[in-house]
Amino acid sequence: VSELTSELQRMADDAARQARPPAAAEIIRQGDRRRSLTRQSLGGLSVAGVVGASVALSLGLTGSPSAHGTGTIRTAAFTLVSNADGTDTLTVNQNVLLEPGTLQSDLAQDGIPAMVTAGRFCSSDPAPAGFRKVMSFLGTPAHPGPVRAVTIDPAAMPAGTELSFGNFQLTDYEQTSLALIDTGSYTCTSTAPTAPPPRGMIMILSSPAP
Amino acid sequence: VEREDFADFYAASFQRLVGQLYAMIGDQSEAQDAVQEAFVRAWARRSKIDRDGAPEAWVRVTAWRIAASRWRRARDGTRLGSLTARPESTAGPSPDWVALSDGLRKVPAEQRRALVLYHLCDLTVEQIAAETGVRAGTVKARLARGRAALAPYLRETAAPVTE
Repeated sequence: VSELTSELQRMADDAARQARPPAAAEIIRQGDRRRSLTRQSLGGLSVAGVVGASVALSLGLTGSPSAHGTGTIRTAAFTLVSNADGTDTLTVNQNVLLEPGTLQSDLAQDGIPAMVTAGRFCSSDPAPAGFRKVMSFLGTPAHPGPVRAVTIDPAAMPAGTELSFGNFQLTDYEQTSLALIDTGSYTCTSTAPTAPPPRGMIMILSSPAP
Repeated sequence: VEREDFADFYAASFQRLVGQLYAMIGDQSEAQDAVQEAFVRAWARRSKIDRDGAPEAWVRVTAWRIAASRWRRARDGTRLGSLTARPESTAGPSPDWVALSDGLRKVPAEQRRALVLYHLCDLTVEQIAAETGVRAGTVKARLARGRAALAPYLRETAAPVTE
């Protein structure tokens, strides 16, 4: 046994001895509550999805207060539902503005590492593979038509990556570029991308003015 | 997974997982919080745990992601290593323990994670590759670099990587 192994074991043993596990019943109670809330939220989402089929995704730049529930994070601007299969569904509300930092921190709280930026988009070259496994759409609107909800599978994210959301307010509309980035190697630009990034996508967030 | 089975799994593995996560991230309270949250998610998503058939690895991976996400949110761009801290109330740490703790603080997070999975969790290189989502060659490189960084803090040279 190497010294490294024995020292790591001693360190871990010290930490394990100091750990104070809550009762298993409490963990199970919290898990049951989260599962229940997730199911309730999913039930409401199916109705919202129909109503929102023609609604443009709208991300803006001013703050909105959030009210976190267990399993579901709901703000005026978006809802983030933790699904029973390990994925999360992000539904953006119509015409309600949010602060990118709020979305970033709430994604992080649900185990989704993401960099949400305003007026800036970060990407890696080469882009990590797997974006299409991580991100999928609900409602399958015709691309590049309005998208209101996306499903994110954090388990499909390769290690060392996070999601990049780059939101731009353009003259007539808003758009968000999305991609996976390598957290150890990426660059950012303040120029709004005019085409989808490699292994990524671009979303038109509100309809161009008539 | 039945409640009784889950409770047994929780009782048998909670403290061990906190110890492993602490060795990875270096923060006692964060390690406990992340492992606790991972167990809540494990029970809420127990059908997935059933399918995967490796509940302890699932909780460990989930706890790592929770801790890493919280930390990324707090620092927005810096490496995990600088967060490292010793347990607040460790009784009489040995000089070797302190030296290693100091050394680990300087090792990048993914290297430290690989070292812990290999030396503490007794996983093979291939198992570490599967758990961390990288190729075996990357795991070997992380182990080699991590050991090299720790060498000044250890009295002996660690064993070479075996499959």
